[in-house]
Amino acid sequence: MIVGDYSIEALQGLISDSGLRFDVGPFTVSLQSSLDKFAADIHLMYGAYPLSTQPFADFHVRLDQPFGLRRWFRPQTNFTQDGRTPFKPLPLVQSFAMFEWGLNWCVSSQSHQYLIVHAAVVERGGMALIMPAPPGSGKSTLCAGLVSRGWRLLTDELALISLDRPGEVIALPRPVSLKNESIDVIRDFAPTQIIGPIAHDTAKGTVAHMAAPRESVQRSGETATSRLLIFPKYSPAASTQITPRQKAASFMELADQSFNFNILGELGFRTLKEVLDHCDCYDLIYSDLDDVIVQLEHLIDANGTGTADG
Amino acid sequence: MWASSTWFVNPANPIFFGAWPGEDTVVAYQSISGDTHLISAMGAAVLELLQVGPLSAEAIFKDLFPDEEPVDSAITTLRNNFLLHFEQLGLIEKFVS
Repeated sequence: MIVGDYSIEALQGLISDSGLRFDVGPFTVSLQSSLDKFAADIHLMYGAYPLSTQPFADFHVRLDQPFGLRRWFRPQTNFTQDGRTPFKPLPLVQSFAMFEWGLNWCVSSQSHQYLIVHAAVVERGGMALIMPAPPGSGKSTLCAGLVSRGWRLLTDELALISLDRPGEVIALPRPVSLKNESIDVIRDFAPTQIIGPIAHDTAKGTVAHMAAPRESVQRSGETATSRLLIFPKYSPAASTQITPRQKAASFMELADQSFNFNILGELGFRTLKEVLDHCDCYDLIYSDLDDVIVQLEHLIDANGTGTADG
Repeated sequence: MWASSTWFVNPANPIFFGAWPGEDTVVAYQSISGDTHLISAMGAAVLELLQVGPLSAEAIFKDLFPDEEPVDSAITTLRNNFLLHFEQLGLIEKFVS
């Protein structure tokens, strides 16, 4: 049974009462909320996710309005996990974005059974293309473009690298975070994709999320093997340029983008080294989504028949 | 003063390397401190030698360049650009007898 099997009304009742438990990749989330209409956002964006059969949840999260008069004056939302409130409240209209950011925080701060890297990961033919990049690089736009052309979404934000299976990436398919101009870019590029509520004036500008494709959610249990490490950079009007880069320098950037490389110690080093052993590394400059996707398809298909010796 | 100086990698804080064929840089990771450095391939070769035991700059030079004369300028470069720099980074320690 999946979340979307409930009507929005039934979902609202569940979320406002005992909570909705559903599986997101390897995690079980228990969601409760007293917010009106929040169930509609969850129904839209998480409708394809399986209801959990686990007796416990990894993350118990809540979204509620603060008490007092702030319920009416510029209403806000609080995110809590296990009774803790890690963030300041945000405007009510940013509730879904806050849920996403809060879940990112839960995973990145509490899931040290994986090496976690701030990166998008997509898969084709069993091979994972990993895209670490700082905000504003065009990583999520490219990720949304790729999954709209048949690549499988493993993650848009948090790459979970297995600690005991060298180079394997665990799927955590969740909505893809789009910001500012990227929202319309993806609307035009992939009109059939589901775009969730738009939050204006966030700390990141205007934010909306693209729902993970249903097939990616259904294949959440499948890992993918690291094969390409791409450092993307969107540059207006630039032609697509894919340039090889050294693995040692790429290692340093990947470590820098990791949430728990230092926490994991030697195991983190060995795990990251194994990812680099499996991957060829490239810098990528792009502006044309159609063109860059074709070139990346050629690159990963060619790599699938070659060796990862850099 | 320099002639008798030797350096070594503290066995209690070993260095692990990430190196790939054809590349001129290497990742050096210290397991205890967690410090991670991007260093030259020659620097990694120096550290690898010092991980075995204490060596002077002259001994390192002879190991790395067995066919070359250990002229003063080369030894000074090895000492200043590698050994003292690595010592500052905490990758190696000076051996005190």
